[in-house]
Amino acid sequence: MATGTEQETGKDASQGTFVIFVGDIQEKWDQSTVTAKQIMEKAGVAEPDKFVLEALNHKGGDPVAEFNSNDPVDLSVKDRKFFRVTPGGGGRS
Amino acid sequence: MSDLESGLPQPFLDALRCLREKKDAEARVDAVSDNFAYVWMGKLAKNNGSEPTGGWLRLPLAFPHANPHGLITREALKRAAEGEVADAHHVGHDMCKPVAALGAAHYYSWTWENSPPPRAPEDIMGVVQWYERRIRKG
Repeated sequence: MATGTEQETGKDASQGTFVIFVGDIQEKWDQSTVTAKQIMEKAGVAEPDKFVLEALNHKGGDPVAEFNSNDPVDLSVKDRKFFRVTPGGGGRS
Repeated sequence: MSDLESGLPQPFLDALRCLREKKDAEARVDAVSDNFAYVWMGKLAKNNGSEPTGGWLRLPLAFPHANPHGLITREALKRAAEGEVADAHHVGHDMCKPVAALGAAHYYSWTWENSPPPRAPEDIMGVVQWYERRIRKG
């Protein structure tokens, strides 16, 4: 996985933190790797295990990767600045 | 608001309004059958730019207090790589009939099983993302 520029990732060089967005909600993380569950919980998702976290190519853009609740998310790589939360699960009849 | 939409429950109309404001201003109800509305969404994201756009979300009139069930399209959905989406794909299924005159020919019998229940009209946005994810995963 390629490391992205500060604009592509959420890296804020002036503060040494990662600034990301889940929808319109801004989050700041000191560490580069956190779980999808942590990101979703911080965004206010009550039952993160029932959702997936999707990384977008830009704000309001297309999903380029998805993470289940317990998956680690490396915020230092490209396209890890903008996210959205999508219901997981699904069956067929 | 069309005559078809004027008789729908308020929470459903609230969801439809949210969908129009945030995703697709042209979203509309094309048919109602067996307590489900067939909601046309021209901006439903698909895997291949060459695919005809749009599809009908089959949403219960009781939304958000009941779960979505099924997607109907004019053309078979394509996978990102090659081939067609085969997950619960039915060609010419009876479920297409309410919008058959508009070209519906493919039914994907996707259910909300094991998914978090919608709680508010605004959850329609998550529903659309859920449909788009299922299309992606094929």
